[in-house]
Amino acid sequence: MTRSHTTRTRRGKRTVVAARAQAATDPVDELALTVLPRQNMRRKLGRIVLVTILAQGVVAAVALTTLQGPWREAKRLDHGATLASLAVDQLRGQRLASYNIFAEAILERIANAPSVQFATLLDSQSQVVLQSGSEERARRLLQSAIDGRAVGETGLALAAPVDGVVVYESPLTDISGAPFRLVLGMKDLSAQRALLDGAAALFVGMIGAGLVALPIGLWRFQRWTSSLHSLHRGIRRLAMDAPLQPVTVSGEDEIAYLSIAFNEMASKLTASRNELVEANRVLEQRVAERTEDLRIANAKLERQNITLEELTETALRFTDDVAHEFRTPLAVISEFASILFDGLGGELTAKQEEYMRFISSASSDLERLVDDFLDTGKLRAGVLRVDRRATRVEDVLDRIWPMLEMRAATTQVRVERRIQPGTPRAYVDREKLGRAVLNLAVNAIKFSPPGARVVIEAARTETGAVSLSVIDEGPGIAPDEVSALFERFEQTRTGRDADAKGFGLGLNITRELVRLNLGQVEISSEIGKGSVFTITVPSDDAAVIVDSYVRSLRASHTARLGLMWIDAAQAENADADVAGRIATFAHPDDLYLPRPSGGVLAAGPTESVGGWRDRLLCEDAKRSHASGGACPRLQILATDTCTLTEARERILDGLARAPETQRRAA
Amino acid sequence: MTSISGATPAASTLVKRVLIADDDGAVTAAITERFKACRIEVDVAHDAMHALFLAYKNPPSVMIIDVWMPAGNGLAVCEMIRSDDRLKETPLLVITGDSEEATRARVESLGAEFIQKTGELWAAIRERCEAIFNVPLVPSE
Repeated sequence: MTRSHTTRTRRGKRTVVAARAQAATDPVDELALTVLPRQNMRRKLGRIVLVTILAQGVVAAVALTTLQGPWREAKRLDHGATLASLAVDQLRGQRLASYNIFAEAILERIANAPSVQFATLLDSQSQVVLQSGSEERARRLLQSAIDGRAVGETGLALAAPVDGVVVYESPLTDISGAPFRLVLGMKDLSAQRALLDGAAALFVGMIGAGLVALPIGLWRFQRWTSSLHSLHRGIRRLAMDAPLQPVTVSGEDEIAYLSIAFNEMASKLTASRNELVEANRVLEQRVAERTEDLRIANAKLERQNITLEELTETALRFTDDVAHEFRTPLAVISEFASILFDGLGGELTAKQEEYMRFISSASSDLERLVDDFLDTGKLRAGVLRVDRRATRVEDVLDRIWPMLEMRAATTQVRVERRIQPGTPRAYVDREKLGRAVLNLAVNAIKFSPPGARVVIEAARTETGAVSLSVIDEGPGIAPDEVSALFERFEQTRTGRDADAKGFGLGLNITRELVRLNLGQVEISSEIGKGSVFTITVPSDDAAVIVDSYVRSLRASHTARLGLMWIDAAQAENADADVAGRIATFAHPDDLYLPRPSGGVLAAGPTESVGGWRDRLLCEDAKRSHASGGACPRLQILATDTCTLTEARERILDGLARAPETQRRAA
Repeated sequence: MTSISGATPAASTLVKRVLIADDDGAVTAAITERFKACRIEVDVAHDAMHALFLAYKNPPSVMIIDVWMPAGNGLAVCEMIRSDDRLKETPLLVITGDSEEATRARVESLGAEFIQKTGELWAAIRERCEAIFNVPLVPSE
């Protein structure tokens, strides 16, 4: 709306008011009026006129003062002339007979008049009768007057004046009645008169010129200001991107030229601006086209993505279904093989017993293959879950031992287990670690010659972790093949030469299973002597677990961790095993540690805890719903984040300290 | 749910009886063979309805139930058993080839035990049943 340019002058206020009145119609006008100080210029002009008039007055006063002397002089001289003529009048009618003294006195008076230089009275014979003043000069003047004029029978013909000499036809007569002539030498007043005339003319001219020039000047000034005003309007319009109107300024003065130049500039500017606008429009159109293309491509990609996701989902479901379909017949084969083996179907011959072992081994191999296959798919899809908890190494080995013994018996290999005293409990997913050990042990059995030993040894490492070593007396692995060992589906040449199968997938999944347990697999091998595969997993000690966890995150280039303090909402039959419950749907990258004072501390690689928390609660709600709401719902007590470098300290601190001292969950 | 069986609960506690429900005859045959070798009575059902009928008629000491069966789902059977006053204390073992975590969670929420169908199926069943019966299960001559 209207911006109020408050100027300090009274007129300024009125200008703003006027501008407000016009604002609705034309913003350009408003700005023009508020910005262009037209009124101020008029006021300035008024001042100039006033000063000019004052200056003229001063000049006139000075001139008058200066001319006062000559003026008075002139007045005085005129007065003198008047006196002279008066004297002549007094002389009129006098007779010469009585003139002598009287005439002499009058002549003296005349000669004493300021404007009179001399006075001479001539008789009819042009003889000087009386003489006053400068005789010499009078004589010379008179002589020149006589010389210049013909001296006829009338004597001096001085009726025509000579400069500076006035000849009066004197009213005096001599005795004969002939008139005397009075010759007066007048002072020359022409210079004074000319000066006075000049001064008067100058004065009049000055006033006259002023009177003429002022309206003309005012008119011109009015034209200039309105020209400037329209020029200013034009500039404002240009600046405000208003539709261009050429500035019309008549005349041929500088402002007119400026207007023409401005019009040219404006039209060029407008032209280039129009070009720019057009170019912009074209560009925008292109951008819009490209955006549309991109949108279409994106939509296509999205559809493809959905299709791919559906395909992946289908593939995963398919493998799961296949695995399911495989498992039951495999279980039946294994079961009946072991039923026969156990003699429930009657006494077996040694040969039959050996064959039954082969059947059992083969079916258990196939089962492991199905499990590995399933887990590989789940790992790829990121849906593999892990349930880590404190576990005795014996429990891990017990689970796989019957199968291992049977497998070893088929190739006459002995399996032994050694659990070193002081081996701590491991913090692992029992089933997954068991499969990892089983895979390594079955491989070791495969590569072992008949009669050889495979030893599974558990011990405490220097760092307090648990190591599980599978030691064989097989052919060993060449150093350059060790690095390639874990590549998917790759079998070592040595292995192939030894005619052993199923190495690749098994070893690869083994490493993944160990990784899920926050552990590592190491190999040391010597050709001809045998190999040692060592799995190191964290023991059930918070510091060791956190160390292993941080190391595994470092390997996956995690920068920040989220922390959450979780508890189960109080409910009847509340399941105390919160960690176990979360494990059924938690991501393997996340760590869920039971806190000594109850509840769970969760850590996971995430930038924002919020999204993680929501996902967890959503998953929990789904599980709770699936189980008919029997499970107590999870409760997030507090959340926080930290960098990977401070993760160890923060997690250990978070385990010990109450969540109340941590940041509260929103 | 009211019981439709006339048998007394006392009889079921005295005689160790296992009810196996699986549509796969080979699986029931294998498990039956094992239990019979240990002199434990076995009822076999091949679908969910039949399993429920047998359970109501002759309350078993333990039920071993497959998840995917005709005429009803094994988990539904578990729910029915859990909501029957006379049978709700019956130990339930759910066996399945399915390895979905959701299934496991559902089974556990019903107070049943989840057993994966693998080569160690009998080993797993025996372990649970020894704990339930509180006697070692060994084949008797």
